[in-house]
Amino acid sequence: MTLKQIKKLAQSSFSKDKLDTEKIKKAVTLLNRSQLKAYIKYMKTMEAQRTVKVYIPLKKPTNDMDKKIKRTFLTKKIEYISDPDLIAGIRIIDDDIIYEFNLKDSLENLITHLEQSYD
Amino acid sequence: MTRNEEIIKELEKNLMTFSQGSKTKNIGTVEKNSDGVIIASGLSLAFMGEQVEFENGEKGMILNLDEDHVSIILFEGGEDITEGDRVKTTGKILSIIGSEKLIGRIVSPLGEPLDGKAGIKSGKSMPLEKIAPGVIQREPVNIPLKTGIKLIDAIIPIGRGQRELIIGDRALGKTAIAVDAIINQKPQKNSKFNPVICIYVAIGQKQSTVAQVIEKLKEAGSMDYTIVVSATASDAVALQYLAPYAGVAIAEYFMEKGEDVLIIYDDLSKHAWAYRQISLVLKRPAGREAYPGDIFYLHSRLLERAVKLNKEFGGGSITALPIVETQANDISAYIPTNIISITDGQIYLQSDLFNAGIRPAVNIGSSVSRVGGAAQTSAIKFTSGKMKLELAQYRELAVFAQFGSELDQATLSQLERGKRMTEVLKQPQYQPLAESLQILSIWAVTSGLLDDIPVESVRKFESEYHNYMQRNNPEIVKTLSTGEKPSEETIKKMEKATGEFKKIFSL
Repeated sequence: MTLKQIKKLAQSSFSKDKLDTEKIKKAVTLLNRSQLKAYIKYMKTMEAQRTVKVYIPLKKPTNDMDKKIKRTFLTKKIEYISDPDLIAGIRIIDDDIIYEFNLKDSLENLITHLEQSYD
Repeated sequence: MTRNEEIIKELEKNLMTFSQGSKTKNIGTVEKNSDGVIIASGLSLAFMGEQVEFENGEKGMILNLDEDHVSIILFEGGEDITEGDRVKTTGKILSIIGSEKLIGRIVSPLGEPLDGKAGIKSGKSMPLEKIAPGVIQREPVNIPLKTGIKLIDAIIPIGRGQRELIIGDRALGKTAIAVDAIINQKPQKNSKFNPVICIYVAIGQKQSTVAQVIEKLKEAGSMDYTIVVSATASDAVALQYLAPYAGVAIAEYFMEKGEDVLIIYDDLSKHAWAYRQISLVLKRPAGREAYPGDIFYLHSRLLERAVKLNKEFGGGSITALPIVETQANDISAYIPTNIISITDGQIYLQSDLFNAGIRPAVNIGSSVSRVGGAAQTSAIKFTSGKMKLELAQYRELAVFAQFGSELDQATLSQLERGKRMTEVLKQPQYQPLAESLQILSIWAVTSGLLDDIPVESVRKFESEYHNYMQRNNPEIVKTLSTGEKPSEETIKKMEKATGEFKKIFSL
């Protein structure tokens, strides 16, 4: 089985955006050790693509924030992670894209700008 | 105002120009690290040539974009980068800081100082990859770039904005010609031409060789107007690949300000090797001599950036002297033929001539300058006009004369003059000559005034003749240095002065 075929297999292991255990059980019997490794890797990547991680300085998100985020990422699973280092604001990780709207990032950019301006 | 207040005011002023920039970052995960190439997944927004940064602060550049992954080449070893490490895009294409502060400095292709002095952070960011100026912005080469080497300035002249290849086997004096050309750019007080800023780009050279060149430039006082960009053999192959682009990006910074720049690429064969190595580890299809298919474009897009801009665009210029090392005098190999076809001429150095004591060992027959003639001053054009023809005739006659057949008087005298011309064109390393003195030497030998001087005394005659003319006839030297065609009166004065010197010399 080629990597492309394994990728397709991994894609079809989901039913309605959720892992289908029956399909996975069937697929696993068709694969050898190295193919299984690739299959798991693709599954993990796809799972990550379906999850949005939201970093906030608070312990819990406010209701308003939760509503807005759910509205923005309609089809995705939302996971909140508390990170007090952000000081204020929010960081959203959607697959391989990071949205930075927090004070920590702004201050870091400011430091870089000043460092690059003076010898 | 106290010092603290001044600093605060300056910071406030600076922060007014601060813009937050992009709020979006693109990240990826390292899948594989082998042969200095990182394969990373993610990075879906990455673009070709974009600079990326790893968790441990190491940097690299994206050179391949595939469906699931990207290939990144590293600027350092990358031993610490392991599978699963995070990598992020910077949104920037590779660039180098252009600044006047670079003059006299030795930097890496990323602009980092290699001379132990402070780094240069302020200046204009110049992209390493840039499309060369178009035809509208250009004008024909019309100002000479004097190398101080008689043979080159007289027979294979170089103009500002030209690309002249220096080609030959190893250890024949290719770098010496380039260094001579740099030394000769020392600003002259009464020169009618703009001073030239020089950039020496060392690609894949030994550290000791680069150190020698720098030492020579320092000795000659040439580092006051020279920048050295160095990526030696021990540096990462990515840096060797980037070095000439970094050099030309710095050159463009000065050119945009209307300055004239001379850039030496030492050498492009090693640059081609570096690119071949990168291409092979990136698994790109290999072509002739295992070079990738775009090896021609690699050099053409670099050398096309050598240009003479017209006055509307500042009138600056970049003159490129790429160096190519051949194997066993084979100029028909892949890289030499590519670069010969890109450049506006070549200076071909040959080992036979070098071993026969003719230095610079330039093969006049195979060397050519396609555009430099238009930039020659009238004075040197007038004196060197018939020299090339006479030398060609001499070489042909010399071949026949080898057979020992009887020769008529005219042929014999032609052979004798040819020998003296060859002697006059010899020149020691790192001793570039002013144009006025070059004209005197060439004029004397082509006019037959040296015919009665024994061949072995020609070089002694020449050096003493220069001293005599500078000491006793400075007005002639001054007239010749204007670059104007010498008048009848000046020629008469030259004949008289030479006659007088010959009397002293023969004593």
